[in-house]
Amino acid sequence: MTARLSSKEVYDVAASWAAKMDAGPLSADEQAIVEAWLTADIRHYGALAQARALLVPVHEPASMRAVEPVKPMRRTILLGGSIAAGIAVAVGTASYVSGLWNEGRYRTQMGEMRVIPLNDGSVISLNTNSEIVVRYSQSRREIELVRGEALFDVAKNKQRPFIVKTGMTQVRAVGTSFSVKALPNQPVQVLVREGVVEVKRQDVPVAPAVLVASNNQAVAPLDAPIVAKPVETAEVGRALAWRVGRIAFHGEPLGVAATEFARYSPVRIEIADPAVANEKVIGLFVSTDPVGFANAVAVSFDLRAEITGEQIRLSRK
Amino acid sequence: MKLPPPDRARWLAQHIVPHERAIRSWLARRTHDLDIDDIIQEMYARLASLEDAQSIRNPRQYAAQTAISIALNLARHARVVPMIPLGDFEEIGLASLEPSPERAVNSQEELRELEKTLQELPPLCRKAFLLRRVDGLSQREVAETLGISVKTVEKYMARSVRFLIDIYGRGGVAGAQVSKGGAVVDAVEGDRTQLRR
Repeated sequence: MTARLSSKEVYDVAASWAAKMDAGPLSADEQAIVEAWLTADIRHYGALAQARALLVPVHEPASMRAVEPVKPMRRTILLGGSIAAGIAVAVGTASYVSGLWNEGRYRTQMGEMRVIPLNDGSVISLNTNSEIVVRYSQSRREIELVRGEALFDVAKNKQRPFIVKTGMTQVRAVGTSFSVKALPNQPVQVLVREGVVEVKRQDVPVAPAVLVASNNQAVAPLDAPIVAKPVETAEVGRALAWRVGRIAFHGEPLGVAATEFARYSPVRIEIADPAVANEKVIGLFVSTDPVGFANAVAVSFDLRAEITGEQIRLSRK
Repeated sequence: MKLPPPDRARWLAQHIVPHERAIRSWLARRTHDLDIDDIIQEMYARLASLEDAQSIRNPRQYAAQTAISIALNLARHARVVPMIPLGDFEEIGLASLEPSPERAVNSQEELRELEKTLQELPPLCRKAFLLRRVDGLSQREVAETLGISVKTVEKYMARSVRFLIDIYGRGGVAGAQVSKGGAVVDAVEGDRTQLRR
């Protein structure tokens, strides 16, 4: 095992290799050396890709311009061919690199939010106290939502459908953006922000799959058919406020708001008086700050907020 | 094992390099005890090994998300307190996944900026690099044009690339942005109205 190079040294080596590859095909010896170097550290691979990008000609070669003045597509492809020679060297490590960060289990703690970019170009945002398992194969991209809530921004690929499974509910997409919520004692909810997804129940094969378009929300209860209903664009934005660490309310009862906060921290907001629990809340709050929320509503509804340890009691003054 | 698509270097040059500085400066102001170069190198590695880059709807944002994810992992590893408050995701435009339109490249302007950036390099080295990168001559053709050896041209290429990497890494010469990252930097640095573009 060789010593770890500093990032500056990595760049020095990468720049030399990029220049050499740009000069012409590598010899077999050189190829073996660069492959070993690329495999040694993921940073080597990245630095070389970066260095090579800086050597890509700004324009297509003048000679090609003269020959084919009006075929930009063709020129691009031709140019790509010359670049391919250099990149092909990196092939040996491609699977090594991608294998590092696609498959597997991802978890968030209570109050944590995490963004997971996958190597097909899709991005998963994981909300508080959630867990997913990513299983990618040649023919399909499968995600299991074990619990919690996630937003899926799916890169288009007709050959490889993107399937999210949670419990008995299955959501299928090609290229789109949607969130799935699987909370205890609640039906699975699917909110579609862009494109169309197909929602079905695996345990009820006779029931037809329900197509859910953008700005629609589907609810999949255990004992009733899946129902989709339109949702306003603003409501979609509010439902996804968790991606920036916020909870948005737009007229929800205080009691519901308190339950929502319980997803993000161990602090419990208790409201004994049903009239208080029914007050309607509007606003954007930091999801991990139930105390700030309680103090804010206490002021606006003229309530008393008693905070003891991990409990906040809201009551009439 | 899949071959990285041949056009990946060009894709990186067009969609990621112009935003590298913005991503770096965003990271630099929010991380300490982490080597930004490490993060950027790993970011490029991930982007280079993507199965399909063309389907990424917003490359800048995808790159930024990738960098943040790497930074958080490094922070966990190094037992450094994670330094990216969740609210900040909004600032870099991570909240909005609407694709921002790609900036049309004005080649004349880009050429001028590249020349200006490269002023610190020896004249012959600069000339060789511009012949290769801007005029698209092969290294051999550059050698013939300038009457120097191919080995020297290769050395000049390495030196120029290394220089450009540093320019991006350090924030570089003011106003000499090869890839016109300036507007993007502005948009990322606290300007939440970046979607107007």
